[in-house]
Amino acid sequence: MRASWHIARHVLSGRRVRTTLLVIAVAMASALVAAVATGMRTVQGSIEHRISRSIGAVDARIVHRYGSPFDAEVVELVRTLPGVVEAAPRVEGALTLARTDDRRDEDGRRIRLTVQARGVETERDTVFEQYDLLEGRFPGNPAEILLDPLTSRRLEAGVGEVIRVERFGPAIDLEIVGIRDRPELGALQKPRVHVDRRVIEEASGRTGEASVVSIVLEDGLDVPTWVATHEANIETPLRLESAERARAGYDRQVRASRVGFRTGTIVAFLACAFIVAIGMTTAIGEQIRQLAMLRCIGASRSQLAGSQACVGLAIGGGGGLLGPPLGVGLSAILAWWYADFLPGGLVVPPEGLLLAFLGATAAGLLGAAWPAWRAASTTPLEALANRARPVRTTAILGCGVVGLVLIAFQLLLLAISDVDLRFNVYAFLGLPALHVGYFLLAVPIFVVVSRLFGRLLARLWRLPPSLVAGNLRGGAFRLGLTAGALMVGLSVLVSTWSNGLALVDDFGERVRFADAFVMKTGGLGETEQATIAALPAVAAASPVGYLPLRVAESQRLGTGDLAPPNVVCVGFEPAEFLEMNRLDWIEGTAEAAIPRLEEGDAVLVAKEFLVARDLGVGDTIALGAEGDETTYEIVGVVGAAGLDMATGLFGIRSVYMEHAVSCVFMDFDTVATRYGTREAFIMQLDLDLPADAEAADAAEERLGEVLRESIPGAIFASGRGIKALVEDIGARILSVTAAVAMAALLLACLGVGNVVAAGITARGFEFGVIRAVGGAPEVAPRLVLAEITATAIAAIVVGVGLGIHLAWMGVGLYRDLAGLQLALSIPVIPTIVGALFVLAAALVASLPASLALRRRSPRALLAGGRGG
Amino acid sequence: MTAPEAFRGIEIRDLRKSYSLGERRVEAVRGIDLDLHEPGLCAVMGPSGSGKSTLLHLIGGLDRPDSGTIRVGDARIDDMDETGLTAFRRRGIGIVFQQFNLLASMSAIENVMLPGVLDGGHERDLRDRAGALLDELGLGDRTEHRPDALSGGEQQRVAIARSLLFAPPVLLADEPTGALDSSASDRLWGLLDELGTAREVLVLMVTHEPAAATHCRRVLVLQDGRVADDFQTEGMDESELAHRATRPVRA
Repeated sequence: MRASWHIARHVLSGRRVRTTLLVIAVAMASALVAAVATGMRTVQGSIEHRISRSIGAVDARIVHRYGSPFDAEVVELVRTLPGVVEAAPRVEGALTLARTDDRRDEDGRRIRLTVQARGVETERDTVFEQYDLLEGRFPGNPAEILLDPLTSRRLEAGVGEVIRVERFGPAIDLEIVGIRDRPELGALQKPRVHVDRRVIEEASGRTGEASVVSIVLEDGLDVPTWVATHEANIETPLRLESAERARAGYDRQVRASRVGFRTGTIVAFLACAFIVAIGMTTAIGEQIRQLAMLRCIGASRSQLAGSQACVGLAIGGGGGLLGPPLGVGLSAILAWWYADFLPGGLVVPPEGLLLAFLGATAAGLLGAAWPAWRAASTTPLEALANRARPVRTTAILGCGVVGLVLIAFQLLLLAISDVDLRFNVYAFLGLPALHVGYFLLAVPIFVVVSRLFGRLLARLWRLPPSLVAGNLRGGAFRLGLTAGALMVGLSVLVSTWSNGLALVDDFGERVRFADAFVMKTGGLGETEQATIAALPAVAAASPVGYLPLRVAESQRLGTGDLAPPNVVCVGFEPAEFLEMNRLDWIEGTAEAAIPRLEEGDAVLVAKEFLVARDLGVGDTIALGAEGDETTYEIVGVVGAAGLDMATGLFGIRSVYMEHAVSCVFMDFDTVATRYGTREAFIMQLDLDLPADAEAADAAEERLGEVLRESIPGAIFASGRGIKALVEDIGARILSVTAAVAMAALLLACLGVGNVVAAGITARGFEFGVIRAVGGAPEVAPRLVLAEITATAIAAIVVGVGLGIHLAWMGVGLYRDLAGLQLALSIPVIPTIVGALFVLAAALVASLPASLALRRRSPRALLAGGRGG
Repeated sequence: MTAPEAFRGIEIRDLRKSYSLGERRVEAVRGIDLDLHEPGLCAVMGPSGSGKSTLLHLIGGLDRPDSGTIRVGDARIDDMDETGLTAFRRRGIGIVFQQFNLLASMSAIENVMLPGVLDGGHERDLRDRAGALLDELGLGDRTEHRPDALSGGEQQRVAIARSLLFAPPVLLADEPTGALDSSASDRLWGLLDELGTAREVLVLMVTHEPAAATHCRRVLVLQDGRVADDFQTEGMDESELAHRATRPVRA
């Protein structure tokens, strides 16, 4: 080992610039992983901080099994339970707030804002300690209000000022006594305020209701045990649970994000390993005479292989040591910049840094595997050979065969029937096998590209065709593997863009919803539903109940940590709803389904069920709380993402509630009978709007005004606005994807620069001969550029191939995990742009070394000797 | 009292080696028998393709024979496995190349130490031995210079010092002066001759130059893979030697 390290040390120090380039490439990947890990942990830390603050001192709570409001009287029972220090009901509701003066916004409208309000018993609330304050204090009586910064900014109101709650009847004036600490997160964020619950009762006209009863227990009491002891005292549909349950959905999201992070890390380090591999393989070509000489004087095969492993270890380890501090530094800067949003501050995850270091080291070792084998197979006679060893056709074919075997192996993994196992095997075994397979396949593809484009490239770079053909043939491995390293960025671009576009298209296709929605937290009663239907410009109104239901364990969607156990049950009046709503019928028909739905023992299900679990018309599904399940027959399979989207934008009951991926549709009366609610969570409206967009906006604005006046607390949302938002989000996601792919491409360019520089050094003698026999100074650089052009073309071919393969795999993953049936389509323009970027980046990366070659004299080139 | 042990150099019996050149099969060595048991310089001459380099590679353990036996010093190398050959190349023989083949990133003394490093030796001991060798070869003041700071002759002397680190009984030199000018070549031949005598080393040198052969005690002339002539040089001048070394070709 000592001898191997001794040789490695000299290999590294003998090529300082290229060693540095390789270390930088590894360090960049390592820094990226460390930055993402630290960023994720920092954001998670801050969310956890907020959840903790949101939970505050609360140990347990009582909620309605299906999220409905309930009689607050239950709190009296809770207060009698042993161990309870404090219990208080809270109610959630929407309030319309306005300034008391006549101040107007830029458009001349009165400043007014609909907010989500939490109503508490102000005299008892201090024990719950649920907010941090920026200034002021908590409300102490029903005449006071606590705002969040968003509300304060939009109402242009601060502590000490008075604002007005607008409602049907006399307004309620409240004094602002404090501003709570809450980051502003963008357009989708809802303003929130904190008032005495009597304010909400007065504004909504509904008294004695609670959304939750919060409970503080005596210190030292074991909460789960206490909950288990007393849960029988609480009658269904209410449920007593530990406050920690509020974290459940969030924890699932965290675990899901970690799976994604690890998968991304594998791809990042594989790309890195490819760069190290080509850098070192080229260096091996350069050192072959030295290695052979070492064999002549007694170096064993294992010592030479070990020396390359040491080089890989040093490059990987060096990058792994440099990268994490850089990544953490980057995250620290971002955490400092966005300190307002990150109350938990910078959180550095040791396991993330360890992964960044170990991943980089492993990438170095993996990249050194081939060079180590090549070094070990060097014969002593190569030190004495006058001719370079020609590239053997069998070696090229062998490389291609191994590549195809790895790709086939990855495809074989798809045959695993268990979804959990298939996903994990794909992420941690199939994905690397696929990348390495395409990496090796790049060699024969480069040979084919050389044959096809050799003459064209000779003409393009004004070189003799035989010279170009000979060089391309001799560099099959070096340049083919370079193409393999270059392909990664393009494949990421093609695959993610393809899947992203398919997702957006699929969503756009599915999001076909009503012209407008009206929602009111706490629900819209029957009178309010009638009021809405009678509003001007409303052509039709359809009430929709909306409540989460637990689906029986055996029928859950997704896999492992990614599996949501709930579905959203949409209660609706079948005839009206189906007339107004544009559902996609995948199985069944409206005519056949409506009578069955009205009978109360049937449901429609979203198409995810059909795709993911093969549940279709004629099958049954068990829904409901544990011990209270009811079996329904499926009478139709439909797509109704629009409704999911719309309700999602309104903010569903609890920010941290577990997200459901799909819906079941049930008769409104059945919901009322079985689950005790006849409230509409949302009203869908068909509007008579002018064709002109501006006039339509104005009409919607007027309708919103009338609605708020008629039904205090009601929130109006335009369907057109939601669609525009969806398109905007889709475009942003695709932009981020493209940026990641371009970063991968730039990373690969470091490798290309390295390979070109090493290749020129290794072939200095050949270039010297070309110059010596009369070649012009620009011939050698042009030859290099012709080689790189061929390399880039091969990279484009392999990259697009891998990208399409990954996109196809992505379609399968979306089908398995989310039940989405995406269409596989190739994004033509992004692919062309990405391909041109690959070509340009490769040429730019090779320019410095090519220009330097032009400046070297024939004597200097010849003096370099053959093969070092 | 025991008699001093006789010098054991090279013993070859019925050595054969062929290889492929494109689609052609070339018999490079065709049944050579050879006994070289005297220290000092011995030249291997002959026209291109006569099998000189192949013979050197086989003796050096760089290549394997098709048949026949090769004994170098106390080691029989024709049936050695890879591990045995590696150890033999490290300690049992020294090789000097035409192009020196020094590692550019290492200083002169580090290059000389290299076989010892590969052998797992202690750095201090190796440095002492390498320093002494360089000193003996007149490079005592150049030990820390890298190859690019040394002349061709100096580089070749570093290569010779490297080949002598384990004091092998046989040193192979493949056209050692091929990359040197005439005065540097003269000095090198003198040095090899001196080493052969002083250190009791058999120096087997492939050369095309009759002038080099004048420094040798014995000359082997190869043609078509066989030993065409084998003679002592004592009393022969350069023209006589050139005539005899090329005679088989004329015949």
